[in-house]
Amino acid sequence: MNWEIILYWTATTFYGIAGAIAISGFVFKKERLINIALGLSAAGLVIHGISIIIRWKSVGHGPYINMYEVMSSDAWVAMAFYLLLQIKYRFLKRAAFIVIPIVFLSMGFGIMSTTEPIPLPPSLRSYWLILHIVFAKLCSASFLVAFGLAGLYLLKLSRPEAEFLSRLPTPERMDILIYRFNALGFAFLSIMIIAGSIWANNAWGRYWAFDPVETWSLITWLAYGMYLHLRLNRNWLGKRSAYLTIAIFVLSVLSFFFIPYFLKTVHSEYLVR
Amino acid sequence: MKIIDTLRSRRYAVTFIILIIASFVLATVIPQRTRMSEAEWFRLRSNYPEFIEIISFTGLDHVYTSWWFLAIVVLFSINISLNLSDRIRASWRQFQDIRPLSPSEIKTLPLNAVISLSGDKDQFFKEAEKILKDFRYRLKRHNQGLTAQKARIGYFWIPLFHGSILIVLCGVLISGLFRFSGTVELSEGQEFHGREEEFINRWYGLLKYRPEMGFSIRLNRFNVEYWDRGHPKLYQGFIEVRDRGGDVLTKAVEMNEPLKYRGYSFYQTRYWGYSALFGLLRNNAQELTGYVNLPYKERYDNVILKQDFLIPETGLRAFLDYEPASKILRMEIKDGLKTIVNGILKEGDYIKLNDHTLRLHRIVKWTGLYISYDPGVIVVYTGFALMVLSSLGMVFLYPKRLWLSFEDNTLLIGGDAGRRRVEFREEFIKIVEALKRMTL
Repeated sequence: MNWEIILYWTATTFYGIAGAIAISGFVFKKERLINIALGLSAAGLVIHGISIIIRWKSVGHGPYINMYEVMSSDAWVAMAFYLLLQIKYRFLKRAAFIVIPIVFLSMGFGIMSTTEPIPLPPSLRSYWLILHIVFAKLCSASFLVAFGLAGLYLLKLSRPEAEFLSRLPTPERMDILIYRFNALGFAFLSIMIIAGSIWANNAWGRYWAFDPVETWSLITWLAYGMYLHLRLNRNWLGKRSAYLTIAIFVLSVLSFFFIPYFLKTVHSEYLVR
Repeated sequence: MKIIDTLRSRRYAVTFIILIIASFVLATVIPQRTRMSEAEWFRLRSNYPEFIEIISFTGLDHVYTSWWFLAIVVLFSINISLNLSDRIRASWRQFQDIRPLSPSEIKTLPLNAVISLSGDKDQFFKEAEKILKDFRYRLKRHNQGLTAQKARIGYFWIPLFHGSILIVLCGVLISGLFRFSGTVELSEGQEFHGREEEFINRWYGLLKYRPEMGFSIRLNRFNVEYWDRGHPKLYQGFIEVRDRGGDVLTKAVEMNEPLKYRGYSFYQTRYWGYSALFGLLRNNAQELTGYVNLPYKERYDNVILKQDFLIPETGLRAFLDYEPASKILRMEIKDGLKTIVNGILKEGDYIKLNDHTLRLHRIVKWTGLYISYDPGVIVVYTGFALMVLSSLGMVFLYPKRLWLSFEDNTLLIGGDAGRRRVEFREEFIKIVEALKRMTL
């Protein structure tokens, strides 16, 4: 019996039900439903974590070789990051209807690729690679939270009288949080690109090769750099900042998860399988 | 001067970023000549001649080396440099102790508050100092009141971050000018001196510069390991560096574990094969030895490796068939079209060829090594380190300033955190609340 896959599917089911409940909670404005969704997500996270540990033990390396492993671990980090953050910022639980379905979709996307274990090739045996991957996950999680906040921010502005959104912080505070998570994600993205570059130099003797995924990561980095510039120098606050956050988040998803499918890249050697 | 002012404009920084992003998108969507083989390019040119003509004319087939892309990068670098000098001056001014502000100036600050006060001012200041110290501010008393600063180093994060981008770009420029790289195939026991003819491929930077190696390397042994299902696990070359006659260094070079010596780096690549070491003897002359590399294959089980070569000084051509699984080497030697030798050759066997004797010494492994000399790397890495430091600093440590002053029986408090004043508002309100509690 393959416990890893059984637990993966169990966790996916938990996330799926939690996502549906979170959306219902949002639509019907029931706080209790959101709390149930968060509880189910936490249970799913534990089961999902056990599935990852079983996988790690059986293949002998971290979950970062093929798309199944990458999506699974990304979903886990995003969910853990979100659940921890909503303890500190209670209002964030209202973003559950955005975050949980995205995590659920990531799990579904991951299971569509092969679950066949792939042993670690010599080129991937590097601490720099681990750093590269850890910060890739952290920056994705930061950008996801900023994206969720931007969605809530725009909702709050469009429906200021909605009771369900009344417990959200003031738009000004949300705007600051969007900026903070984008800035944090930008710092993590810088570390991710740099660690990847150093790893590439150690493995192949070149720190930059304009590989499509490299290039699109740099495009994302420049786009977030532009966001920071516009915010700090051109006073792009509020709505404009939120719309830009959503647009650049879509760009980052395109760069990290879709480019390897469409363009020939060294990253797709492992990711697309 | 107007040009300099235009180039300095921060609005243009955003324009340059957008242009660079657009160039990157084009370079990944439009086929790039450097990323295609000659055959692929030829096929594309035959199928879409007009399209290829347009992209060749505009440089869109080699975006990263096109004049217009390099011009955008140069203009962007000038924009950053001009802004950087302004930013450094401004940061330095802000870093130095802050000037006390008059009550009227405090009232004009974006963050300000007024607290009614009764009692002894000196006692109040002592208490206020304690509160501000709890918030980790550095304090300075003066006649008009009190000034406080926190995270002063934060004034330098933005110039440092922009400086780090320039340093990385400088490193890239140095790499572009001076970088040399090449590949060699080295057999076990073979020595490499860095001579031009020893490379299979060579790539030079714009200045075509490469310093003399001044040392040689020797591959003592090559080890390859596989996982159970046949996926590669380890490629490992045991390399000895010979500098001025003596052995100075030995290292197991693996992927991600290159050998670095006197500016040169030697990288293990992930391809390898078999090679035959022959010796050719003519009468009593010194033996001439040479490796014949057999072709590379992904897997070596159930394959026969074929190779042919001209035997020096004889005009004869040899044809090899080697089966790695059984370790059998079959050799056929032809004089024109006529076969003069055909049979299995074992290590140590020799063949008489008129005046010469050809001996097979042994079958060994060869492996690919990628060699590079790149003085730009250290500069790029320095830029990377500063970029990480400053980007984390920008997020977590930004400078804040407070002014406290009396006017009649009221206390005026003003705060500023430059462009981060919106974020600073929360802390400012907390401080004001704490000071209000003290006065109650």
